[in-house]
Amino acid sequence: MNFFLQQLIQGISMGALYGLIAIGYVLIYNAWGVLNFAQGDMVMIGAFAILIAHVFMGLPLLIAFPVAILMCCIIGFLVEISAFRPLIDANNTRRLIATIGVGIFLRNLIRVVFGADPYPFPSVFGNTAVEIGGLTIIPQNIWNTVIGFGLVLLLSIFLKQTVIGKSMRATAQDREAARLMGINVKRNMSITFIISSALGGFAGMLISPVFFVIPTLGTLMGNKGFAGALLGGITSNPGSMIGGISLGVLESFGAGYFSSSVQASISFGVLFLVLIFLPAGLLGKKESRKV
Amino acid sequence: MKTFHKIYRVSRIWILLLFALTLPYWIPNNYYLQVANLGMIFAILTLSLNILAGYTGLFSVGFIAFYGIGAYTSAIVVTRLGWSVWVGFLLAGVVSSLFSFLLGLPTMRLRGMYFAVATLAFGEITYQVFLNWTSITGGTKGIKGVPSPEFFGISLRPYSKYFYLILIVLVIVILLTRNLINSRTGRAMLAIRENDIAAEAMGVDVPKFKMIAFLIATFFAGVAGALYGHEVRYVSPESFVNAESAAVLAMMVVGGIGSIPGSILGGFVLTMLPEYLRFLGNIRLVIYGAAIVAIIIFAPKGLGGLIEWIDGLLSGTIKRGTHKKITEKVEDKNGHS
Amino acid sequence: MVILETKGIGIHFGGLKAVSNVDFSVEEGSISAIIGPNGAGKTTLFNLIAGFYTPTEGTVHFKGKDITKMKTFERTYMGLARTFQNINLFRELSVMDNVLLGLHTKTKCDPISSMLNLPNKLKEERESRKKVMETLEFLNLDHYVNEKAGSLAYGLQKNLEIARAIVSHPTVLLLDEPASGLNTNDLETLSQGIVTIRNSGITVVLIEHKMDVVMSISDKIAVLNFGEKIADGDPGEICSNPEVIDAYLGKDEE
Repeated sequence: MNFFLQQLIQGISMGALYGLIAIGYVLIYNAWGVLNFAQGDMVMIGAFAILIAHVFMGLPLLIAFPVAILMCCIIGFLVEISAFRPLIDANNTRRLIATIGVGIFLRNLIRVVFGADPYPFPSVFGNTAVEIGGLTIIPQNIWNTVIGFGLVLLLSIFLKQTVIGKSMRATAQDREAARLMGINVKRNMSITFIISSALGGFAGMLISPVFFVIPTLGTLMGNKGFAGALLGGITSNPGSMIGGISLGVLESFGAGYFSSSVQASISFGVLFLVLIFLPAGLLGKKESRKV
Repeated sequence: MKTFHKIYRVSRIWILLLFALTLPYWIPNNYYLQVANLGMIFAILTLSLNILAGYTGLFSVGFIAFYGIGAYTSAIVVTRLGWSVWVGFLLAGVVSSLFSFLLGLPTMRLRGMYFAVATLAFGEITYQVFLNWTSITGGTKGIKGVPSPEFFGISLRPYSKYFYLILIVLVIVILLTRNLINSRTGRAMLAIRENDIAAEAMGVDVPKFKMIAFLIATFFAGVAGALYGHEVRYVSPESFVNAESAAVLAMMVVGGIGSIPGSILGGFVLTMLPEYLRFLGNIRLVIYGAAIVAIIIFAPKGLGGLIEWIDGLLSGTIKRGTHKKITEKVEDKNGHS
Repeated sequence: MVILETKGIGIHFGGLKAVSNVDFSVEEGSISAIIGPNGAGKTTLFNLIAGFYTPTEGTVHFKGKDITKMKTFERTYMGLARTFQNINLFRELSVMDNVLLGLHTKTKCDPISSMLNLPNKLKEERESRKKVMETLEFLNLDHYVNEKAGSLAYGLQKNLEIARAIVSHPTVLLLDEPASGLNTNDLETLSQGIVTIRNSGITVVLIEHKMDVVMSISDKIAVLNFGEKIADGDPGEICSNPEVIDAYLGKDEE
């Protein structure tokens, strides 16, 4: 039973991060109608940002974190304004290709600058495990979960309560109508990309002590986040958190009860199963067609 | 001027063919000849991706997987089972199509985005299989000693001879693609790309024709993979990593989405160029990424649009200034979609 | 003989009843019209008939067969063609290719022969192109064969959609607001054209707002309001129906 709980906690902690990445996909998909294939690379950017701020520049974590987040936001904004904004009214094919192009660009730029070798990242929250009721819990697990859920909560408050958030939701529902209502669609698109980049970046920072910091981190994490988003239903914010956590738990049980090689293939397995049996995901709405 | 247009229209295909046939004599350096061969193989691969993405509007992100499946299939049946290389080529296409069929079954009735994701995942899985199924694929070491084909006792091992084999396959693929586009099947594919709702109203069974496009495209991709394997005579997972999918995508976009001459030029140029720009090293892919984005934004018709424009000028079918109008129309269309 | 019929058909999107309990029948060889205020559910009814929506209640019958469960493309194969309210052409394809696509159900060349240019393909292509040219001439589009569909003027695009729909000589043709955006001169040509199409043996069903067109050519008219059928009959009966007058007057007062 303890082992079961242990794996569950481990899974939820990892899943919270997948959920963060997944929400990045969903926000952009809702606002832009296209899957952002560069979303995973924003996770990688986040990991490198904290690496630069904390390890290379030697800033203490409390300062390094906001600095890194700021870097992510700036890069997200630059990407949006240079690559995606010119295509705001282009067809889906062109937009999809642009996101793939951006991903290739970011991934390889980082590889050219930092090399392909992995960088270790020191544990942020300490390695001292805490004993609670016979369970050994690593602080990282708790913090991942807390920060993951905290950010999702903040996001939903932002979207539901603030004027900008509301206008963002309106833009996501019907861009043309929003434009007619005088909503600044371009600004909202920028904010959407900045928030998605920041969320991806957060996930990257939290992951960096667990994995090494490496340019291909984005591909790996992007796939997981995407599988999570799809499982949750690509259009739903809470759905993608649930999807991400479900995936994290599945992976954790897969690794715990079978082997770690099973873990690697679980996200792909989930992806295919969802595609075949549950294209609308757990919480997504079935898209009605417009004739 | 009229006679010039006429002469050009009659002679353009022959000039092109003459150029292609004499290419090995223009490139005496064996190394660059091999690069030229690779360029043509990538031209075939780009063309096949174009059938899927350019003509049918279906985005495959991990397309290199089918190229890899083709390369491994042929290498395995030839080296382990001792079958003829020619059978290997054919089987490469068939097996590649077989996998696309299995992948297409669940995904063809879904929207394009899901298909793109499924192919991305498929690409990753395929790479893992190449890497880890050591007993069949040789793992990281790959398969060495893949033989060159023989044609009535003549070994096609020298690059200058293998060149002609690739050229023949390329010409066949070009002709088949062109015929396909000007047919009931090809039009159904174009209709799906343009407007799937109207396509359905025309009686087009959308999932079925998506599947047909997928099968044809992956067949060609598989054959291209086998051509690659028997050219370099060595097959290993490293040739089929995700970055290669990105390169093929770049070739298609730079060449021009939905353009046959564009695909060929895109495949060729982007294979040749990095060889001449070796000093750039890893920056190649950075440039690819930036180029994809820039071309998609500023020149969605790519090199193919340029070729068609020059061709139109020379053959007198378009007047100066029409090029601009065409791009405007593209913008207009996209604005409505 | 009734060729097309809906029985108690309805669909709701979420809580909204777009169409509810509509009985609508079309006589073979007739011109029928569906009229009603904006948002009355006319296009939705078309989409139900053509199979773009699956009804939540009721059935659709075509040529005596229940086609409620059939897919859109299968209905097209049975001889049900349509045009769209907001023109749905293949904009980047030529006029020729657009109309050739209208012949999709009448051709059967397989992909292999297509790629190899086998004789059966070349023959089919030749015949198809001839048929397309005839249709284009009928609709005065023959000068635009090689133009891109999206580059044509609005009126020509509407004609092209009709050409694409009738080239296969369907049993029933559904026209969704064919007269919208046309000027008075064109309206006359359109009315005549629709009658000619009917006389060639194609049953026509149209949705239309322009009352002079509807009244002059329709054999039967059905009136929808708030998703329900409130009247049907010949033009004379509809003109004098108090409920119809109410529905339209009510709309005017808004």
